[in-house]
Amino acid sequence: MSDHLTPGHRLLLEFVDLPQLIEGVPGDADLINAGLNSGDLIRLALALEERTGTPLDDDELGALHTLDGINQVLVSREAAELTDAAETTPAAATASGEAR
Amino acid sequence: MWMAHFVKRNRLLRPDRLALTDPNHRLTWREFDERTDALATALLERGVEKGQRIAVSSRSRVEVLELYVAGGKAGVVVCPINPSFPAPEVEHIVRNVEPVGVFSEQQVFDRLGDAFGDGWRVPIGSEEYEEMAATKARELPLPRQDDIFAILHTSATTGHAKGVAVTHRSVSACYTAMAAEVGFSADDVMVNPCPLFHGSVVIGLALFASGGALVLEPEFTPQRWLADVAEFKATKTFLVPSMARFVLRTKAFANADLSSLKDIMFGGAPMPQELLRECLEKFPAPMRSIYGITEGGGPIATHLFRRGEWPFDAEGTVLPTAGRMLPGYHIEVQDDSGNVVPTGDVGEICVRGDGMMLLYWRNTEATAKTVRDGWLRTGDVGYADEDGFLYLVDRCNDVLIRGGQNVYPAEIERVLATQPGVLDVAVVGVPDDEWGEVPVAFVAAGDEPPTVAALIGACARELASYKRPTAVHFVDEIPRNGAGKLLRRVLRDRLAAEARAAEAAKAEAARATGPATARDDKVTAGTGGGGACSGA
Repeated sequence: MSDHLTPGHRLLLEFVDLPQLIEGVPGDADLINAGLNSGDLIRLALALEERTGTPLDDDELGALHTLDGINQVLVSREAAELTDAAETTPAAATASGEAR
Repeated sequence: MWMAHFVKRNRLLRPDRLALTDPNHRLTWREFDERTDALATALLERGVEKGQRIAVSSRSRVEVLELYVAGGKAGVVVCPINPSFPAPEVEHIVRNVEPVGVFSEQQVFDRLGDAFGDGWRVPIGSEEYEEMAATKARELPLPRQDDIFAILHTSATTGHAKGVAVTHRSVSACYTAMAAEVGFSADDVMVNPCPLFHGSVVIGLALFASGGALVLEPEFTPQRWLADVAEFKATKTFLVPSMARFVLRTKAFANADLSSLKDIMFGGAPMPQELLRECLEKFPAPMRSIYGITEGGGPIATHLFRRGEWPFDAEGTVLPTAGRMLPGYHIEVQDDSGNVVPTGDVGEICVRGDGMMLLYWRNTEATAKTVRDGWLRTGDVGYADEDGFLYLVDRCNDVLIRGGQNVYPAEIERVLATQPGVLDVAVVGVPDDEWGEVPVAFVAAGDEPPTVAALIGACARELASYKRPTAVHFVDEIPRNGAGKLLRRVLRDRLAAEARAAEAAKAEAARATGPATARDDKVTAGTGGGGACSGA
């Protein structure tokens, strides 16, 4: 797969039985209507939970029906991880003189 | 009669209690009875006559059950259609049942265009629908128990789905059995994550008839299932094994409140014993196998599995029983001639009782093959022990079950065989950790072989997503016997041998960490295909 694929697209490719199905699918298209099995999206959701260690909420689950939505979930989760990391390490960072 | 009767009775007994809910609606028994009376009247005022068919194609939502019951009250036959079907599958069902009208969600109408035929169309949830549900109701004659209530389409050996005609009597038989054996009562709340076009709908209807409340989920997600069980303090649920596996894997499981659950029913596909063991360990309720078949009226046998109790042997291995016959569903193991085989001998599982389908809609030949001398031949091969416990060992047709949905290879082969460059084709079911089984295609191609994308594209256009092959293997020749009969076993064995070789290589590579020894026995609580051994 080429580099122009979005992170959501690349992630989804790991979980669909048939990658051909999502070639050329627009970002806002419903993936089930595009031919994906609902099970593919469940596996994707579980993988996202596994990656971040926290359950997906209803809004996030609903967003997984489009490639744009998957990207949004990935972006917001990465942002949350960065925030969590920043909140959990200030003492160490300050001690080393890196936090300003 | 039944569909009208049980709603009226529950309205009289518990008018203000919750009957039915989905994410957007909550209806009491009084409201449900009134709306379905109105819808039944509205159907007749549209000119729909008793015995005519209406199609309902939607995700699970309150209106779908309203239409089931309204149709039942009006004597109109309801034909559910999977809303994710592609146009050719819908067109086949529409040709078969010729619905005078269709209820569906607007986005399904938008997608499927004219596949629904020439009848009128009413979008579910639209103003038009709500006007129908507010029609001034009039007293309607009670349908008879042997009137057809619904036609449920199942995958078939012929390559095209068959319509299973289910009567009011059949649905009431399921209620009687489940109330008696499983203890369905008015105090129950059941979370139903399965689609209402699936054969398992009769289990939800049975609990509903008992006066319990039904919680519908538009689509299954493990997170939503956990939330609904907690929110509604569900006492019962029904999961196919793949769903149970997903529930156990989701992060929300660790903190979920499942303490209200009394009975977790499972079926639709064989349950791997390791998964059953994990379910018993992690769920706070026993697991109940439901062995059933759409043509038999749904569940026909059951067994309640409790942690540490029989049927586990001394080593903790599950004895893979499908359970014992439910009341009203008499089961025998018969040979091809219809004779009962001795206890412990292998034969075809056959059932008779009020739950049996009336017939395959407009398919006399298939009906004659499947119903013989009053017995419904399930197509499942197995044996019974001295205590009546059933054990399934094989199928006498080619059906494979993916995530609780029956798939006949012939349906997929029919599509692939027409693609340019394909000389011969065969599809087999192969074991899969998540789905139980998945279809895999073997294609013998000519000088200009088709691409995998072209083959998959054809399947995507013509078949439901769960019927698409998960892999395509190109081979020189499809194995057939002298009479031209496809030798699927040869292909299955070839795949199994390749899988074993790969496993051996993996084990060799991981020798330092020790080999895996998990067994792969399955608790056979699936649904059979409904074919006849000697005829299919």
